[in-house]
Amino acid sequence: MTEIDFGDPNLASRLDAMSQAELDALPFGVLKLDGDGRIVGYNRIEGEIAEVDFAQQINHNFFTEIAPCMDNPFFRGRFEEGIKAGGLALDFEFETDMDPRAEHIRVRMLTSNTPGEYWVAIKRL
Amino acid sequence: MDQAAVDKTFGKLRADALRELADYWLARRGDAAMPRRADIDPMALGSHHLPRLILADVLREPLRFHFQLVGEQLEHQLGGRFTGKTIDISAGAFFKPYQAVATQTRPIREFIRYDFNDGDPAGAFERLLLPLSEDGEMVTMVFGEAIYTRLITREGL
Repeated sequence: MTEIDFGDPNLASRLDAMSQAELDALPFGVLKLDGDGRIVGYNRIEGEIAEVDFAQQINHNFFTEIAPCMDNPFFRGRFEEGIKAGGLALDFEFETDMDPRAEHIRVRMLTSNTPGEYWVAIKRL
Repeated sequence: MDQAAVDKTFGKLRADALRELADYWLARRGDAAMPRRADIDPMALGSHHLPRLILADVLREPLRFHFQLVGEQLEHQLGGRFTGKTIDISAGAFFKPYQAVATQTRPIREFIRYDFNDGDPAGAFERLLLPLSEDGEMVTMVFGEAIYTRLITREGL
């Protein structure tokens, strides 16, 4: 399993430097979104935990189709504001009774070095 | 009602005020699955709860929620008057937790801790929504409380 701290202040650049095999070996979930929230990348563990075949979800919208519990001003709103502001560095802890996949999670939304792309790292707590 | 789900939800509560609200709801329901509206006296809860309380009628076909009461502190934090308003599915994420209470017949809790790394201090939000029922089976009202630490949203409760 790839050694990396979820709270690493340089998490985005470390993810940018990883191969797909290294991303797949991470102990937490990772998705990559475009500026509209569409899924452009993912790692193995996120698919397994979320029980979603992300290969079938490329270009689908993360907020409306995959994580409706995040389709609200707290998450999507701040994601969009962060992009507009030129940098995304959001850190959330979230607990809900409504989605067993998000019963207790920590989410980091970060700007990738690839223009127009953004990391969403999801750790189940 | 699934008592295990109720216990699990109440067991996660972080805010003392919401634990008090949960205890009050449990005490007032007695042997019933849920309290009736007449069993609930917001004034009896304590004055510190009143500014953050939510009380909504459940309207059906189609499912909607009419806010009889949204506490003054919540309305101030949210920047608008919600008392007297009715929401339906078009309210999106705002509607979903109320929908879950009414359709799943169970308490619903959400907690969010947030840090935007923009120089502002981190904040948190916790909300507990509880079902009330006149016949002990169908949810007829939603009763709850929401606590914000550093409000950051301008939409929804």
